[in-house]
Amino acid sequence: MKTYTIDLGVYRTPGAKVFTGRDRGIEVREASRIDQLEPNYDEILVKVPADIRSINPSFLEEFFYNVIPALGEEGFHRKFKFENALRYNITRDLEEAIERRLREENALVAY
Amino acid sequence: MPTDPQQFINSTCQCPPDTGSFVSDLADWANVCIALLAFGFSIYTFREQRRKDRENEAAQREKDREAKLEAERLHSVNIRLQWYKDVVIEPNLPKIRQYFDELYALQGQIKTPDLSEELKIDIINSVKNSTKSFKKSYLDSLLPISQAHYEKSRNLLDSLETILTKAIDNDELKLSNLKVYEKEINKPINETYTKLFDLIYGYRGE
Repeated sequence: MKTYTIDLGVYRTPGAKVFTGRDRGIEVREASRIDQLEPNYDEILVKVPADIRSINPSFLEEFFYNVIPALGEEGFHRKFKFENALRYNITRDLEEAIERRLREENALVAY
Repeated sequence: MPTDPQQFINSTCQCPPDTGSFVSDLADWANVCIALLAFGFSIYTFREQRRKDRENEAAQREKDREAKLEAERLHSVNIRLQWYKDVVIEPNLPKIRQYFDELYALQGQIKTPDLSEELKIDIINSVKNSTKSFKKSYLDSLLPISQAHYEKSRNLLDSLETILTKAIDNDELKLSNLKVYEKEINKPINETYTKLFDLIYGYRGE
C-alpha cells in the first residue's frame, strides 16, 4: 500500500499555532500539491504539529477543496488519516469542513 | 376657296395633316407611362409599407419578448425576496443577535494577561462553536436562494473567525488589556456585524 505523508508543520506560519482562513488553505493546497498527489497514493497521512491549537474549518474546506468532492465522505475517510496534535483533535472541524464542502458542491450541481 | 370643310380646315391649319393623331398618341403614351409609374409607385409604396409593417411587428415582438422576460425576472426576484424574508431574515434575526452576543461575551473568559494553553484552545473553540452553529442556521438557509449572497456571507463569517482565532492564538497580544481587546476582538466583531446587516438588507433578489 502506497502511503504519502503531508506534514502540516512545513506549511505553518512562523510563530502561529493555528491554521485558519480560506486564503491560507488555498496556499497550502497549492504548495503541498495535494490534488496531484492524491490519485497516486492509497493512503495519505496528514501530520498535525504537536503544539497546534486549532485548524479552522475554513482552512480545511479550501485545503481539501477538490479532494472532498472527488472522493466523497467515505472515500475521503478511507484515504486520509490524521495524526492529531497533543491538545487539539481535528475530527469536529474536519467533519464540519467535509459537510459544508459537499453541501456547496451539491448546491452547485442543483443550480 | 375649298368647298369641302375638311379641306378648308386642313388648308388653314399650320400643323401637318396627321398632327392630331400624333399628339393624341403622345398623350396616350404619356397616360400609359403615368399609369405605369403610378402603378409602380403604388407597388413600391405597398411593398415599402409592408416592409415597415414587418419591421414594426418584429420590433414589437422583440419588445413583447423583452417585456415578458423582464416580467418573469421580476416575478422570480419577488418570489426569491419573499423566500428570503420568510426563510432567511425572520428566523435568523434572533440567531444573528445571539451569535454576536456570544462573541461579545468572550471578554468574560479573558481575565489574565497570559492565557494558558488550555484557555486559549477553549476560547478558540467557543468562537468556532458559535460560528458553526450560526453558519448552519443562516448560511444553510441562504444557499438555495442565492449562491453569490451565500459566498459573501460565508466569507465574512470565516474572515471574522480567522481574525479572532489569530488574535487569541497570538501570544504577544495581551487581550486582558481593554484597548488591545477593543482593537483586536471587539472592533472586528463590530465591523462584521455592520457588514453582515449591510449584506442582509442590501440583497435585492438577484
